[in-house]
Order: sequence, then structure tokens, then C-alpha cells
Amino acid sequence: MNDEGRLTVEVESFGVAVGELMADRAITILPSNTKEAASEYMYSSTSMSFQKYARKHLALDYLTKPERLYTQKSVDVFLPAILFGLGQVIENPDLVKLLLEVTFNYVKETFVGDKAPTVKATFVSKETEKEKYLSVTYEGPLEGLKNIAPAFFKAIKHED
Amino acid sequence: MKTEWFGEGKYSRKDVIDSYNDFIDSANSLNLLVRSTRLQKEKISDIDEYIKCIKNFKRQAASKGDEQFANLLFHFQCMLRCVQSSIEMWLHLKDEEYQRAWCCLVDAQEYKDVALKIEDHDGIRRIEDFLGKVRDAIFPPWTHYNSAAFSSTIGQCSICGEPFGDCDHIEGLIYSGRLCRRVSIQFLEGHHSAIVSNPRDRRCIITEISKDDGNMIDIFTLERTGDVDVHDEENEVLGHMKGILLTTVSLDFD
Repeated sequence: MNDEGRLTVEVESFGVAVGELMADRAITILPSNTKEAASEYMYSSTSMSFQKYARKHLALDYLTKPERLYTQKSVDVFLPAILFGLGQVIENPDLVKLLLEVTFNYVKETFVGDKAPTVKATFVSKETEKEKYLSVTYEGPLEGLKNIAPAFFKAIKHED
Repeated sequence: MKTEWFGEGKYSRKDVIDSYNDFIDSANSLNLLVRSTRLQKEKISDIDEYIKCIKNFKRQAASKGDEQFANLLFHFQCMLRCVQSSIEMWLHLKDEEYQRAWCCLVDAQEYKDVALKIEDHDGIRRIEDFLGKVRDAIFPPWTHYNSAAFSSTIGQCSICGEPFGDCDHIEGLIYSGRLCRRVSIQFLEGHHSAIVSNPRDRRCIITEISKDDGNMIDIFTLERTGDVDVHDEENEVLGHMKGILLTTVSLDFD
């Protein structure tokens, strides 16, 4: 990975509620504890500001209405997990690039600090197999976030 | 409003800027360890009073829709708080309150970071360099910090006071001379703590560690602070540490 960032690819099974609640939209902000019951969902502490910022550029919404937030201070910016709708990534690859650009600009404009921020961001795509999700997590310098699109496409096409 | 700072009668934008430049120079001249404790304490109080005036001007600028001047005044406010925190650091060092001194240094750096979001100039870079040198020369070279993860309520918007989910304000952006944050947050549950090298909050330091001889030592002074439990060796405990897991510092960004 460039810029010393770390990329992790996983196939996950989320709680049944995720599939049931997932509306027919291209981009959904996921809670950080998707395996819990929907009544206990909590969203990354940056979710609400990110949603306000990103909605000017993209159509996106939360999986459920946020009630509680989850703060993690081991990285400078702990971004919300983003779920792409079934087939959206393959049919519309520019969507991923736009989301990465919006995410990059969001961090750049809102981060307060004297150094280049580190970020943690997870992008999830629904697999065609029932209730399976492929998640790609990037953790590292903000600059590296812009470069993960090719790795994300490779992962969802199972090219490695 | 003190006339010695702004003169009498109406104040022009230039009057306010000139006054600020003189005032921060006078504050900076006391931003050294060897300066008189009495003068430093007086200046800390003066900065509080001066910032009240700055906020007054800021409100006037905001009410006239002069976003640019309101933000410049917020930059002044942050720079003054930065210097004030740095002077407070020297006072705590004189009193051998090292942990509080460290937190004041972090406060000063955070004020400087927010000031930098508005304006960048040689003066702020000199202060940034000064604070970095102070950190390196005065305090231990921290390599690890604590980092907590917790859940909380959403809270309210510091700009409009509405529930944060109901407004359009975005955390980390500056609106008419105020930094947007979520406030009135209720802590719900602690989830975990990790030891990390690059934390979000550098106040969360490890303050004491155990040594092989069974003593706890203070990370700042290296003085013994007490004994660890003598049964630990039998229980295969490798070491102990004390530290700050989470702070709720509220800096002046309004």
C-alpha cells in the first residue's frame, strides 16, 4: 500500500437486520457494530458531520436513525463505514472515486491538527451470495486514501 | 472595555488589529520560564479580560454579517488562548505540577492548530516552533499514549444549540468566528482502551510504570511513588502502569 497505509479485505456476515434495513440506495452509512441488534446500533462519531458534508455531493443516508455514537481515539479521524448497494460499484465505478474524493476533502477541511491526519475508513460491498459482504478497510495517512480505488475494485471482483 | 487597549470612542478595524498586535507582543514577552510569576499571573487575568473585548467585537462583526472579520477575531482569540496556556504551563512547571503543565502545552498546541485553520503567518509558525522545542526540551519523549473507545449520546450543536442531527453545521468548520463541535454529550459506555503511538488526545499519557525492583516510578520525575503488589511475580504479572485514559477538556472555541 502506498503512503504506508494498511489495507484489509474481509468477507463478513452482518446481522440479518442490515439486509432487511438496507434501502434501495447507492450509498448507506453503516453503524460501527453491524453484528449487533438494530436497537443497539452505534455510529462512528464522525458519521453525522460526514453525512452533512457528503450529502451536498452524493445521495446517502444512514442505515437507521443514529441514536448513539462511537468514539475511537486511536486514529485522528475514524470515518463511518460505507456500504455500496448491490452491483453499484461494478455498474458505476465513478461512484467509488467520487466518494473517496468527497471523503478526502471532508477530512482535509474539518481536521484540526498540526500534522497530516491518519484515517480509518471501511468500504463495504454486498456480495451476490446471500447476506455476505466484502469489506475493505484502509488505515493510514489521509493521502493514501485517494489511492485505494483500484485495490477496492480488485477485491470486489475477487481478482486476487 | 479598557481604554488603555482600544482608546476611547469608536474603534475601527485597524484600531482593533493594532491593539491586538501590541497586546499579544506584551503577552509573548512573558512566555518564558524565568519571567516573574506575579507578572505572568497578571497577564493570564488580562488575557481573559482582553478576550471578553475580542468576543464583543466578534459578536458585532457576526451580527453585521462580516464573517471574514469575525473569523479574524476568532484567530486572535485562539492565539491569545495559546499564549495564555503556554504561560500557565510555565507556572505549573514552577510549582512542579508536571502533568498539568503537559496538559497546558497540549492546550496551547490545540489553540494554535485552530488558529491555523483561519490564518497562516510567520508569527504563528514561530509559536508552533517554540512549543515544539519546549515539548522536546522540557518533557519526556512520549512514545506511547492511551486511547479510549466509548459510546455517547449525539449531543447538541455548539453553533446553534439544536440537536446535532437536526442542523446543517459540521464539526471542525468555523462559522462566524466559532468552531463547530458537538456539546452536552453524555458518556454512555466505555468499550476498550489501547496503547498507541499516534493518539487523538496527547493528554492521555502514561504517568507511572513499575520497574523490575518492584517500585512504581513517576514518568516525569523518575521518583519512586510506591511499591507494586509483592504477589504479582507469583501471578506472572509482567508490569504495572498508571495513566490517563480519557479527558473532557473544554477549550474556548466560542
